[in-house]
Amino acid sequence: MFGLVRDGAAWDNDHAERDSTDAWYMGDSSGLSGNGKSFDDRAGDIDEGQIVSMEADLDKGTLRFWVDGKQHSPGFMSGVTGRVRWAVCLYYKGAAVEIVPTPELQPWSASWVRRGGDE
Amino acid sequence: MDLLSVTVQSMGGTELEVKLEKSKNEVKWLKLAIQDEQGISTFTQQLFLVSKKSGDKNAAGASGGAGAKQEPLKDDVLVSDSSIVALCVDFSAALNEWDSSSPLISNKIFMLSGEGNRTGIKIIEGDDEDWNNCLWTNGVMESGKHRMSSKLISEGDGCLV
Repeated sequence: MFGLVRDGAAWDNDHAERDSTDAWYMGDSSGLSGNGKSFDDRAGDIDEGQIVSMEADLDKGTLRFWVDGKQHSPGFMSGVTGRVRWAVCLYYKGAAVEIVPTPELQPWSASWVRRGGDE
Repeated sequence: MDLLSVTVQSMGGTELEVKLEKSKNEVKWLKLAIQDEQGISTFTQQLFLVSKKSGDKNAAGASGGAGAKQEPLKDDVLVSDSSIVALCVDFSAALNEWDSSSPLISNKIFMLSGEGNRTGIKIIEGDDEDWNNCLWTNGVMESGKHRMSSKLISEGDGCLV
């Protein structure tokens, strides 16, 4: 899970719940979770070696996602506000995520359409 | 050993002369040299070409004119002898480090590695409550536009949902 959590959220809770108001996440099958979503709007798998880029506009309340520079999922289009931090939630032992420089990102399109894949 | 010299100008007006081996004349080596001499993480460095040695068409800025180019130099770009580059430090990048004070670290659920604690690794075997973890970055954001990127190095001993 990649996304944002509220500053002060619990470090040992699962925030990827529809009724959680503490996080805005995208899972590696690219479902959106938290703040009214539960693995919704799946956009296709994220594979090892791929780079997930995120852009939060805390004035507009949006959170957008790209994978390897290409737009991925519709993102969260409102309500992303408050004091927040970038965050990950990892499931299996050995899972690893490295913060890297942001690559060039495809311009955001409000008319993004899922490329296909699971679900 | 053949060396080339590059002048690095900081935004504060100071200058640093960096010597590079001619066989290691890519921007990534220049950044490492700056890191060694100034302690500025390569991750936060943005280098802009101010001027280059005339007649060097293979080096950075071959198509540039007077003044610094607008885009930061990419790591694989070549720099030439007597080039001048401007150094900007991206402090927002410095804030994007995993929080080493997280209880996930002290409880040995995660470990951090790499330059600037930028790699977070889950090190404990999981069970069905395995989503109960949240590793966050140092920087707290409250307004404005922010970006962060991370690479999925490994999914671990299974596949994620």
